[in-house]
Amino acid sequence: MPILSFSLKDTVYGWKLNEVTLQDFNLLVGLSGSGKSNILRSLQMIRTAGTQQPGSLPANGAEWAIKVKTDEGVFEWLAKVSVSSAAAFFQTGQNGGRGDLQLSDLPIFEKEQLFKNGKEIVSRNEYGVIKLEGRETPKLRNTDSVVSLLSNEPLVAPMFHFLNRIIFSEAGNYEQGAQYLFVEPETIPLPRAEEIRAVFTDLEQLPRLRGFPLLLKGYILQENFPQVMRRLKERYSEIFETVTDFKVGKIEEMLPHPIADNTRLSGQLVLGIKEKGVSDWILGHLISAGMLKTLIHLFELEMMPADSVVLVDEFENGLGVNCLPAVTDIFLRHTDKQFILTSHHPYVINNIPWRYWKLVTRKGSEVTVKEVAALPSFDKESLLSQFVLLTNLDEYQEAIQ
Amino acid sequence: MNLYFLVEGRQTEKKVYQSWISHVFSDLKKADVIGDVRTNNYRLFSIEGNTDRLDNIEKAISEINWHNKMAAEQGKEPFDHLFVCLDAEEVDWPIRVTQVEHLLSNQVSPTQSHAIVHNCCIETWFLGNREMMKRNPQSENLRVWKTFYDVSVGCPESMACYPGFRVKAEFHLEYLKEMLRERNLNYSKKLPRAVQDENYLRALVNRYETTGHIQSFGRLVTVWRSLRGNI
Repeated sequence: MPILSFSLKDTVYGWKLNEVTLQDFNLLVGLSGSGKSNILRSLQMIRTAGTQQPGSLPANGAEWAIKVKTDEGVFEWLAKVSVSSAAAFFQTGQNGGRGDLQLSDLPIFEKEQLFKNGKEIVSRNEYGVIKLEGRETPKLRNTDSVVSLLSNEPLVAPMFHFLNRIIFSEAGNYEQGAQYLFVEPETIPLPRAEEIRAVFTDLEQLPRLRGFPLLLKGYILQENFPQVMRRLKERYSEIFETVTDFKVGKIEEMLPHPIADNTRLSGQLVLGIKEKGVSDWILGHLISAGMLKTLIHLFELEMMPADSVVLVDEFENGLGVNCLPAVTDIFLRHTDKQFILTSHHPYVINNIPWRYWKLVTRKGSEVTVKEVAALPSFDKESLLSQFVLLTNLDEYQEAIQ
Repeated sequence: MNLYFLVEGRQTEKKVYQSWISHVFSDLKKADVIGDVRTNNYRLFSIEGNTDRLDNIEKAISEINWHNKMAAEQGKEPFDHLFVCLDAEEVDWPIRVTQVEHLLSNQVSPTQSHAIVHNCCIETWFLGNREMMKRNPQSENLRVWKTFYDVSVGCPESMACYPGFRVKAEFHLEYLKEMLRERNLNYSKKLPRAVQDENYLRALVNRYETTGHIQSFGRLVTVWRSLRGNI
């Protein structure tokens, strides 16, 4: 159930993305500044607008069309949001949320249409009148989208649920990931972790663990789903052949020396890995960034619902050349999800078949995405490596004009 | 006799070729430094990741030519054969073979060059060991895949990509892993121990000889035999 296509115009940033058609796996390639990351941010913006994350700003000054395929049919959502100068300031300022904004500062949805299989099911006109299957609804907030406002309507719900499954990878910034290594006792003490663990006894519930600290996810998998944990360990050991085991346990059990009972470490969960030739557990913050990020990717992919749309910006960040191809393979293997990745790295580009490449080009503020395989100058049979072929394309070298 | 191998792949190809060379040409010794190449040595490099294969092939050719020139002056033996071993991946096998042969032709005289192109990847060759396929596999995946295409009956090189896999080579790899796991053998790109074994190599040779399957592997067998290798 993928995103089929989307386009977006962002008045605040003065940026326009022409309609891009997506496959089940997409590697966005192109020069720095061509707009790859902005494409992912646009999708995040659309997701936020449709699902109304708490404290989030609506898509200020944006106008988009997105077409998605769900089990219930093909949905297309068109929306136009007004520009709010105050919101624009806060959006680009230090305050990421809408907390400091007055209600009157918020941008409003000026126009919306939602189609199912080509038939209009919801509309909102410039006077704020919303119609569901032709029938006018009571007056609803114009700062929220029809998809979020009517998310309980069976007709609209599939679109809402689809947008909820657009997931920006937590591993995008491994330093942030590192913060998830320890569970602070005051946030989730072990007894609390045990309480949460008791709730998650069914594999179907795993996607709901998203957003939980890595450590807690690991603990629940280890204790409740040993078969899943075993599979993850196998995959991890394939990538890092020196790693023989990983485990989430109480710090007292993982350290080679005793700690005083009254320290803040006492009773805290910690992640440890075992390596060949090293007798003690290597704990949390001492695990290398690349090893940690790989682990975050593995856990994340395992716990995402099937049919997720996974966005990963600069896939290679924090990953060493010893694990990049293997992590790329793991992504390719998750065929139940749609992926939209960006990368500059030869190790990634060489390991993802060219038929999944999308070249991002920019002329002024207008961004166009091209299928590399469809470019007449792209030689699919050349002996040169994929990366060399890509970077030698005129369209690649002149991607920004 | 001195041999030069350029193999493309992560770590599998390097490990497997080294083991197989030791089985087939037991008197050959690997030379890590070009200056150590005298008689009965081989050099083996793996092309991996971000480097370009054409660039690597050209560098190998330069090194061979340089060595051959110096060898004449220093009383050493030249390189007799160059093997460039790479994957066809998703390019038609004959096209890839022709390309590599054309590239190598006349460039390294008196060294003879050979294009060995795995069709589609080296794991496709390993699928050719019929002794590894159980009649009634326990693994659900393997049962399904065996129904889709039984590599112990049909030529592994003709096996298409199973629906749901994004890359054919990935499917061949996963099929191999499952097939070997049924025999309590672990296989990974980094640790391909099971297939490094001499008996495994013999089983593949047998498959080629008795059925004519895995032709791309057969090319290697033919050349190695012509060099009086124990194969």
